[in-house]
Amino acid sequence: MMNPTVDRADAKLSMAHIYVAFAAVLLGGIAGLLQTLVRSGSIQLPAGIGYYQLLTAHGVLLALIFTTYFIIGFFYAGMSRTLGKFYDQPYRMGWLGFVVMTLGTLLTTVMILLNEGTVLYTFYAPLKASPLFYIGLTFFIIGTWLAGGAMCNHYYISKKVSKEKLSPLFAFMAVMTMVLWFVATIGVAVSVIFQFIPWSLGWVDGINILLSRTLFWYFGHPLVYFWLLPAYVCWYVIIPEIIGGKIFSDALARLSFVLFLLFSIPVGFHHQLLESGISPFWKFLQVVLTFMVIVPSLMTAFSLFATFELAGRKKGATGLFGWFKKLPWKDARFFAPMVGMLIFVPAGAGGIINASNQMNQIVHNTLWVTGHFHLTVASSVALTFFGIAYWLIPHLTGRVLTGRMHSLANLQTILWAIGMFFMSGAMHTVGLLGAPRRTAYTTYQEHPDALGWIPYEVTMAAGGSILFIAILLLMFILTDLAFFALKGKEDFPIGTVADRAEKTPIILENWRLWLTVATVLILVAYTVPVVHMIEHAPPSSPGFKFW
Amino acid sequence: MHFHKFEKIWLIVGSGTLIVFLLIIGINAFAMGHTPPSEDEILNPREVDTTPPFDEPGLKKVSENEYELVMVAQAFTFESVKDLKIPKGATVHFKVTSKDVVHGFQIPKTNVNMMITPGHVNSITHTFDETGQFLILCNEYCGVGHQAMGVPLEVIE
Amino acid sequence: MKLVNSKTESQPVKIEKSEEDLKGTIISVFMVGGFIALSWAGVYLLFVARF
Repeated sequence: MMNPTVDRADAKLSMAHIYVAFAAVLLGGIAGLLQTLVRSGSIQLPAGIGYYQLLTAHGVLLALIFTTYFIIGFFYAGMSRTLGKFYDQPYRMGWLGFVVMTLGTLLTTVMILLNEGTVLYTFYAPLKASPLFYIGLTFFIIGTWLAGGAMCNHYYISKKVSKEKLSPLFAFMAVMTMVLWFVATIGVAVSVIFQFIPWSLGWVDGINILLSRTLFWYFGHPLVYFWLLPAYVCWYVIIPEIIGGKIFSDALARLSFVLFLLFSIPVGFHHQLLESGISPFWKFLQVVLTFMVIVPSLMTAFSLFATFELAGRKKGATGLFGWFKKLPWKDARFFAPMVGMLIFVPAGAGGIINASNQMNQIVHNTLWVTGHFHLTVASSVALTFFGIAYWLIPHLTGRVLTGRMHSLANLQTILWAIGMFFMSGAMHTVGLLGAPRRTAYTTYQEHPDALGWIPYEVTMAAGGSILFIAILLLMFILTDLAFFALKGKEDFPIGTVADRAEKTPIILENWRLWLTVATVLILVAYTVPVVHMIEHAPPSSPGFKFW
Repeated sequence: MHFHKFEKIWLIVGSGTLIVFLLIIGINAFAMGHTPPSEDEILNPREVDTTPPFDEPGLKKVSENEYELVMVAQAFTFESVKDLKIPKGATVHFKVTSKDVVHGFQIPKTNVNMMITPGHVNSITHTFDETGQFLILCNEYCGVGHQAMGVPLEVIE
Repeated sequence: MKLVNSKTESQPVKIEKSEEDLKGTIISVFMVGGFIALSWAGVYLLFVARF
């Protein structure tokens, strides 16, 4: 049942997640600023703090904590809005999930601060952190499973009660994203529980490194789609309403999400293209599957432009691009996600290059890759999430997004785009010149190649400083919206489907079918190479603590 | 399912372009021998020092202007010979393993880039057509001294 | 394939034959596609040149 506003109790649950998410942005942003200053040789860290310790904190806080908490908070609110107030059972499960996730987060963060987990957020074996680091991660994942369980449960009950064959688009997309998360996290959970924890506790004396990396990347690539899909939810469902348009097609929106479930998982090898023990054939097979997952993004690009053009034409726009001017550029709820969408063009181009098999040798583990995901997750996704927060927080706290805050938020977006242009642009360029990622300040004994990278690293620091100012501005805006802004009612925009759009085939909502196809694809892509990794494994590796 | 005529055109041209990309890299990889480094040889990571050829890392001449460079990656250096000098035009087969954690192996300005995982050997080949200073560096975080892990390589006349 | 209306359970509505004017859309997506293809070609050429 559609609710105009999110229920009060559900709003509390949603806000709890959003507070944690943005606290992580502030802490992670501080770490990020310091990293760019260290890397360019501008400062040295005081008090025994290590560069790689900061880097671990930056990755964990922003790539895992910020994204996951925000996504879950956003989905709770949207499901409450489109399906109605959460039923008791899923509601309690939601809070339990929050508690478990947060315990895990705190444990892992403390271990990083104590310098017991300086293994970066990818925690590649055989660098060995404290067992508590891995146990914290396990709690975090179990917490997200409870959250996903709460959403699926609420969706299931609501669907039974309403007897509607087709669920609201928002709820469908949210559940699809959480289903993707379930399937993906199985890999990392198996690795952490059966490989890392027993090994770090000393119960076994070695670890199969290639298997642990493969299980990580089985999770690691759908992880990036877990970040991206909630942004797509905003682009598909919320943006049309904000710009006074319609959802171009409900059926195509659902189809693209189904394709993401199918093709975003059996593709992890494109992160392992340059390593031993996986045959070129299986690498290439997963490269082909990776290219399949580009298709739903092509569909999305078309749907979004079509939504913009039709909305503009309805408002009287003429000519080929007249509709572009009719977009509400001054509306922060539109502007931030729109800049995110535009940045997704170079971000997507970079992604296709990264995944192009042997071309990966040009860019693998260089700063190009860092530049790439600062466009995808740290711009397209992050700006969309900020754009959501601008209306979602006041909606949930009973306040309004005022004109002054619209302007400040637009300034935030512009600062972000400028900062990222310099930082990510420099990273892409110096990456092509060969500068490695995840590396502290170095000249490799005054090697001419490395000396040539320094001007780019200084540019990165300049961009990073602008981004940090943007983060401070974001904190000011969000604090105001949560605690001080004018009391009132802020809309939770949910788009409606264009009248002439085709009716949605019910097969798109056949979960059993899509999960079966996804499982088959995963088994095809992974069975043979994983069996080879286990049967043809070298003697296991002991752990090392090199920090 | 119904697609707008323009969307059909876009999806056909878009997917067609992706297929062209795949054909180009597929032919380049499998027909022209440029598959990414994917060595299948394994060894005991605790016994690298006594396992040939890693018991004697270094530069070995295989034939006229062709060399094998055996290296052992370890925190935080690449072990081989002291001054790496290679004649211009030489083809070098790099053969590398790790004694401890995962390392990267990259030479900027070339396509040499591969992962070195303990227990596995990885290899890559490059022909140095120009003289000059090159740098072999580790591009995977391997510990507190990771940024120091690089050795110079000089291509001489 | 069974069709269901997304708002109410009604008879499937006949879809109009004429299509919306989306000339701006198709030109926009092709500009995006062109940018992607050029970037890709650039890095591919760099890859070939570095052998």
